Amino acid sequence: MVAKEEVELKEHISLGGVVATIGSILIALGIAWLIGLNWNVIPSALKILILVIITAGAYTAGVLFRIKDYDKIGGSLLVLGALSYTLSIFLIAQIFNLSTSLQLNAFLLLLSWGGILFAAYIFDSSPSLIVALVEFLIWISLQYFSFVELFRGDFSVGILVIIYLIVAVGLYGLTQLHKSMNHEFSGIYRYWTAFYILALTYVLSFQILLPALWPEGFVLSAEVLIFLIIISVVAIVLAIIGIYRAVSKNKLSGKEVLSFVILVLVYILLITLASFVSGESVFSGSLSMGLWFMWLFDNFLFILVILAVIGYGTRYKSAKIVNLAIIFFALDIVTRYIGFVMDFGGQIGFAVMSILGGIILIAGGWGIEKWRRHLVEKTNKKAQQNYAVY
Amino acid sequence: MRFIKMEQKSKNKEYIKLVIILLVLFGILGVFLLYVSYPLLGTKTVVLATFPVDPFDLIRGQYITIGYEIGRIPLIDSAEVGDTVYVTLEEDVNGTSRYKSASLNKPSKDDVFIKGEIKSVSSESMRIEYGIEQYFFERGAKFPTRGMEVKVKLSNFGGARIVELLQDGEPIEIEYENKSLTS
Repeated sequence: MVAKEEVELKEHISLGGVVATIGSILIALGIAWLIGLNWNVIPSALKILILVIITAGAYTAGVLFRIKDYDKIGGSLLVLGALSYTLSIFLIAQIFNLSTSLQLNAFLLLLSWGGILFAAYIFDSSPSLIVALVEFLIWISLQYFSFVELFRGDFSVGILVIIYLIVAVGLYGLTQLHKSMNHEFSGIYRYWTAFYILALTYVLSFQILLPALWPEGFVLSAEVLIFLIIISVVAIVLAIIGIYRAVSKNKLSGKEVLSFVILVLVYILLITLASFVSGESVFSGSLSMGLWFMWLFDNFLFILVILAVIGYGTRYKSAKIVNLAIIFFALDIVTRYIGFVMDFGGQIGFAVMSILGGIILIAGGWGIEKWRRHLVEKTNKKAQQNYAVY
Repeated sequence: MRFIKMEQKSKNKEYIKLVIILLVLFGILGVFLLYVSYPLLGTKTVVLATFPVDPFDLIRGQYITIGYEIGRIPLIDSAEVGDTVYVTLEEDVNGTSRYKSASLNKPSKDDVFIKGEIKSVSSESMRIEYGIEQYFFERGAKFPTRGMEVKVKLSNFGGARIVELLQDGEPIEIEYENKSLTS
């Protein structure tokens, strides 16, 4: 009975946290909208003051709620503080009519996620860390686009994929580092490692993107190369330190490290091999054998990675990681379905493929949901049994 | 009792953390604010001729992109895309500052100059951006753009910030459509 009440209480608190987080995001959205509208009647100094008060107020209220043991609601208010801080930076840029160049936007995001990350560590706030990581993802992508624009370099999907791979290696290092310290952020870093790995594999599964990985005549500019070297060094150092510390504290098996290293090497190989199909057109009607095999292999790998991530989520009792893998699996099915419709063009072909595909999707959807429920149940059972995960 | 009230010591720790975070975040905001407002503290003010267009940025809101007369100037020796260039200005009889010369080296403090970055180079000219190409306003704004000029403040290092938009030497008054709650 007591156990049931505790579960209900926990669920109630968790739901309250979710609702409060949605509320925080809505408030931030409302403020963002007002900024978009420029509120011409309010003097600039007052606009900044309002944002500063909202940011300080949200952080203060967040801390007060946490002191009163309303951790989830306190966390949501810290998220509001983080989002208000981001908006303050963008508002100041707008008030001073700063350039809308990609580099300036990237710089604003850098200021933003840096501050939020610091706050996340000071407050041990997981929701704030998630905000910082979302902004980091946007920043790192925008920074690459900005370098391409600034230095008139060639854009390559391959470089973007390499950047995501480097970030995944760094996040894996952070996961291990935090795990070795029993820090609660290890779960979040683990989730984001899985996200980056799945996202880059998803990008590689597109027939149309493989020849675009390395466009014909692509030249890597010195500036982008320096950027890649800097983030690689940071990621590798984090990975080495994290893995070393986790292994030395018996919290990471050599087998897992080896699997991760092999996976990274496979990606490097795949990204490199894509240069052999550089510039091929997938619309010309006939695909080269090389591109066909590479596409098939990448899709096969995508399924393997999805299964591996599901296994990883199960091992670490993370229903969120399992759900993430299932979402990518569903995304894969939908994407391939659209791809098949395009390949078997024509109205009759489209009609037949729609009917057949629809039946497969309904059956697949039922199967996926059943599979998902089974896996989540299995994961939760292991969590309840205090299953040894290391 | 499931929840145990936080001890006074822990509470104080939380307040200290709050103070640290507010100091750091507002410190970043303050330094950023000083950096972006620094040119406005300068004593040199110039009026620049323009050719505006009108886009919308999803992240940053509504603005006009302003093309300046000094946005395209004659090519100088050894200039390359990405270089910082200093454009010395000279006032005409109407009080509008126009291109006088350009250099990759910073001119003397007595000169009126603006700092820009070379964006593209052709056989005889180069396109420069000065970081003042956007002017933000609210949706539904109405204002004339023909013959528009821009009043700009310059720092001693050539950094520039927009002060106001001008037409025939007078500040442009931006009119806004009346807004209702459903607009």
